[in-house]
Amino acid sequence: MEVDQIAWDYIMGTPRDQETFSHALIKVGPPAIFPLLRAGLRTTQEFKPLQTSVWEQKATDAESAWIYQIAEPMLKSIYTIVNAIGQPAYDALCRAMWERQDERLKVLAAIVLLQEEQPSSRTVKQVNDTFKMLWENDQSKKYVKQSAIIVILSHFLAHAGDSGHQQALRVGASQLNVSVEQAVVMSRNTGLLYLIR
Amino acid sequence: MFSNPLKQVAEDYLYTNDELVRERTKQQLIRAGSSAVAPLIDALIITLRKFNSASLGKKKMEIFADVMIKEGVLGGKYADMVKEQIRGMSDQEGNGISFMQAGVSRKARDHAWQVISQIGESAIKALFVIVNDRDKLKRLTAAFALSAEEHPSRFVVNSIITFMPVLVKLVGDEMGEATGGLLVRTLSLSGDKNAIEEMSDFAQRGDMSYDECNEMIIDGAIILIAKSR
Repeated sequence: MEVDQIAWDYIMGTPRDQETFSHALIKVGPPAIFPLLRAGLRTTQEFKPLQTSVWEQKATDAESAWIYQIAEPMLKSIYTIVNAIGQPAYDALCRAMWERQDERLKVLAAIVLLQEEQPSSRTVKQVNDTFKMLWENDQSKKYVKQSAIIVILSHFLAHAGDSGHQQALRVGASQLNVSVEQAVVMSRNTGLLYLIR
Repeated sequence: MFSNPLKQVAEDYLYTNDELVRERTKQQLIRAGSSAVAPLIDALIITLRKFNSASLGKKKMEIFADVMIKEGVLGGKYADMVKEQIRGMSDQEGNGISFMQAGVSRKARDHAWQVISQIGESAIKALFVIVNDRDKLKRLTAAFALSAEEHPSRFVVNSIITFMPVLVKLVGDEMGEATGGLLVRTLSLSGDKNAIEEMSDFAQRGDMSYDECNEMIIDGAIILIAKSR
């Protein structure tokens, strides 16, 4: 079976299926990361929240259900494999932000990284390099999508102990009148919603 | 007017007692792919109406029960319970739902789900198109077919979550609420905390145990579909 199909079956499976497919993906190692990201993007597209025109459904309610009940479990599933594979998988996630032209895939890779609570110094350095590269590119192109990555990676670096990014996060949170933790969740959710817009 | 040939195949599949016919029609439906789903749901409605014990006389019930016991659909203590219940029926007709109706309707549902789950994601998608249909009866029957799944995959869970906000709008309508109940029940089987909480509240309000609540949601749907016209 193709790795893309295994990745999709893993994210979409029953808990028992997930266990079986997770072993297969861990065995594949870092080459499983891009198929996992593609399967994650497919999940976001397949289960898009309903549009406001459908039976007067509030878009925000549908989006909230999508974020917490569809996107979050998907992120958790991807992170489980990344964490099990270890450093080569984190390297692959960082590479996804450098090499790939698909902006959504880059944003998803950044959001998956944001889940890591104890990043290795190698991952922190790679994220820092990625951040700088994107920041330089962003000087001339003010894309919202690029900014989404930048904000998410900045939060990641703040969490990893970078004082400059910690300060930026505090300022951002106070401007929004929310706690630092809430600001991180808001940025993540904005990034997730970018994936379906 | 053209009629869908799969409709007859689906009816034969769900209603037959002949295992050879069942297997042949099952394969025909599986080969048809997701286009078999709508005829299956229509056939499930027809089958549940046929199994409506409230509309069957005592004699028909006895004949029917004998066939079911002979075919092994009902066995052991359930066969005895059904016989006992039929003995206690009036000569005219039964009331509510009998053990037999509950049993054979679930069996028909399980057969429908076997085909849908074997076809896979395309069929589940087609089922959810019906869950979002304007026709309340079809919507309820599609959710009923889905209730055969005791270990829902993330694909099923995500599909329910996507449609859930629409169903919230159906509160106050008997079939709409039954549909929502079935979907919440399936969601609860995946371990969804909100769904489990909602089921517990529902059980408490109805003075039932959690398991009774589970069964009541299924029986309620069977009655609504079977008595629909």
